[in-house]
Amino acid sequence: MKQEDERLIETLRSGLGDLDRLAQFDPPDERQLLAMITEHERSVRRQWRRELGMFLMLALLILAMTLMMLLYKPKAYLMFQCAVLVATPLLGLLAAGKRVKNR
Amino acid sequence: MDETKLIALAQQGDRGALAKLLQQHYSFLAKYLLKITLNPHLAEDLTQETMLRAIEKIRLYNGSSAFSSWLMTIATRLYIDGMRRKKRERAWQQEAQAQALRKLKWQADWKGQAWPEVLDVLAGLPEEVRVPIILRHYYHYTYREIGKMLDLREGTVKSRIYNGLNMIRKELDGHETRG
Repeated sequence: MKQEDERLIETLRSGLGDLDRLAQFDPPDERQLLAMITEHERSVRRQWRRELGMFLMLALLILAMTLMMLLYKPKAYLMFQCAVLVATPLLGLLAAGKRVKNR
Repeated sequence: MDETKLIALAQQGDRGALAKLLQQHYSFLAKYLLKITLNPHLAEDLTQETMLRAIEKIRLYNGSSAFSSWLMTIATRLYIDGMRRKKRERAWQQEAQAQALRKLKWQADWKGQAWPEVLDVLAGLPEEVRVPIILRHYYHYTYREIGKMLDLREGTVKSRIYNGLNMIRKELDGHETRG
């Protein structure tokens, strides 16, 4: 490494080192951290339960609709499924094309 | 109790061990975040956010790097992702950053400490360049480790550091000439 580079890096290091003396970050005590951990774990569990509930409801709704369609309008259902099969990759390709164009 | 034992206990669900572990790394992490953000408030917020992320993901820590490096990786990604998301608020963000820097300068002045010019220059660099420089030249991580932390190729890390140092040198030379 060139001497010039070493000098620059040394300046950088000492400047960053000075920052440590400027700001004090006292860690919270263990009790506070324990409370934070407990509360956060609880909130993550709550969120997970909410998301699972939402997923199950949606899955049930889609399943119910599919079964109803199959029972009462099987032709319409098949056409809808074909449209989905064609449209999904098409939309994917269009999005990819747009990304390439933007780049 | 040593760190490895604390980590093992925390991964088994011992909240006390996790609290102790996080407490031990709090100041180090906050100081690291201050160096990369140059903003004490943001550094404190990100430290807490990192702690929360670590609580969620402690079971995923596999010991392939030091625990402090793992925390630094989480913190750095949170910071860079946050900055990317807020790109639309760039003007406001720049003002907040300038204000935080002014505050730090006052603090230095108040403590009778000279303000290093290099920090002004560092603050002017984009975070994608500033962070690898600090990781390489202050924390002595290898290019490969930095690449892993930032999810970048080694070559990209090298070029960002090289270009960043050149930018700092040019700016510092400019300051000297103006001064």
